[in-house]
Amino acid sequence: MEFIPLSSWSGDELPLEPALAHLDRIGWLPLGEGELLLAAHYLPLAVRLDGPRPQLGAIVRRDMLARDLVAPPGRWVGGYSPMSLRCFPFRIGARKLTDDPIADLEFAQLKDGVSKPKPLRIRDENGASTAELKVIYENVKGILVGQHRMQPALDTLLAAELLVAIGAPETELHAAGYFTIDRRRFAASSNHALAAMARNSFSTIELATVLNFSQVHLRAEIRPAATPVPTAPGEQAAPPIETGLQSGLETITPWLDTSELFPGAWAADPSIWRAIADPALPAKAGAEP
Amino acid sequence: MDYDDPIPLAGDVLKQRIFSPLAYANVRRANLVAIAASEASRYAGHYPIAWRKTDSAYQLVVVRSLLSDGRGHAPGTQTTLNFLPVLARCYPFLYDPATGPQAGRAKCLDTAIADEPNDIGSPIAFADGRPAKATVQRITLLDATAPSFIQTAAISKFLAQADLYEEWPLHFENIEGETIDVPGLWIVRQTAVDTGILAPLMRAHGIVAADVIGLHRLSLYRAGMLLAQARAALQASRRALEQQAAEDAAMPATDLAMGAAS
Repeated sequence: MEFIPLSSWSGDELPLEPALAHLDRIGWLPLGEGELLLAAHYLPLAVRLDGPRPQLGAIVRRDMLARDLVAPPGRWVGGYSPMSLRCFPFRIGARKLTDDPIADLEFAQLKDGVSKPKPLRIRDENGASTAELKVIYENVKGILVGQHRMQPALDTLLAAELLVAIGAPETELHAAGYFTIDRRRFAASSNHALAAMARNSFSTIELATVLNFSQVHLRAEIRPAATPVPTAPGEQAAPPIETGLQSGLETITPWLDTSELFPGAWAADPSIWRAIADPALPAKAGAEP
Repeated sequence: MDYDDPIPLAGDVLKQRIFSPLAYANVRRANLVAIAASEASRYAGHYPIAWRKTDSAYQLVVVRSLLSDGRGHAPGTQTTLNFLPVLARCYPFLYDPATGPQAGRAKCLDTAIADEPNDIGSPIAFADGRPAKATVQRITLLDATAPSFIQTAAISKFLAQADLYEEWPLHFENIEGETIDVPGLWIVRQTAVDTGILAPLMRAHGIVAADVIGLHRLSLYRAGMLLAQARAALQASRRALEQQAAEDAAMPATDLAMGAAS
């Protein structure tokens, strides 16, 4: 996917291809820090290591997922829709933020000649960014901030060799570089190792739990094999987390699509910009600002 | 989960009959059920897991419905044993309330009546003193889970001593004209996660504590599902009442018509 600076677009309107028609090409989307716990209920989370820094996001490629995210004719049935999907095709391109959305944003050009693009007004009559574009800008900025905040936790997981590539070795998928937690290895961590991981914040351990938990959304064949890890004498390895797999609980997942709190939403619909704040949610764990 | 009147499992009590856990209203209605940390991974994707404050301690519980009268459960979850936490699956047996969860110690029997039995049940033990299969299964499960309950209590106590709980107000006004309130629930406060204050807990309880706190925080997002189920249940009850009222209102007219005909 190629990204183009928004400033190079001279028109006042930008035709947006429906992202849901392009999920296979998008493949993976970064997540904001505040979205992790919620997104893990619906999408497999994965770490990418191909950039300058590790990045945490969600997989949206159909060939990797246990169930479809889109139902004909292009309706999102994936439950929670990540902020970066709702803001697609935009991301921050600038290295230094100027607070000017048109200067800082870049966008992916996706054309399949089939889907009907929907125009988004980016400049008003005075040439300034529209309110709609500003909202998108604030949201993608929020995702970027969250990515930075998650950096130390991701680095700790990497340093402890707790990440494993999804897909069998020497397959195309393995080479594609989506990483998740090696649950067996993590569960075999000594109490001292876990205490060290939690010394400054709990986010490393929480991230490991969230990555493991969300593996249930991967196709069964590509879920990381549980590699046995030798345990030191006197230490007992914890069993793999079950997360409802094979427990019969998965049969009640029709809830996934009916949760009225997180209706499937798509960009340019103003109602989706409402913060995902509901009294039912834990007070301090809402979505990105 | 409620118990009517637990009595020691001994003597003539062993002659009583027991039924499937689902035959008992206490199980079908149970909206808050205490769980062991080892059960958290099984439920975190489906139900909120939080702590309930009792007189003496904080108890890890799974929230199966926001309504305590048996309504508001997700469809299918009241008709199969698959969705029952260990304590509910072992009903009408329970750990002796005097000693708490302990493997190998005498258990108690709740004396509630099985109001919806689906078979003839089984005696707790046969005349020769041999325990029935259902008894063995449930007592074995209680024994097997006891160590995890003990560790869960230790983890919960650590969190209390470090002042790491905050109240979780599951309170909703005007849902189908009614107020839904599940008081007394507590969650791990955000500051516990943002700081290193949980490190000593990791050192003491390792991966079990790591899992239960992570899964607890993930699971809270299932509250939305419970709210949707509660709303649907209240809506169905309201419709049923309205329909009844409409039928009642129509009744006198019918009587009148019949009277005129005769």
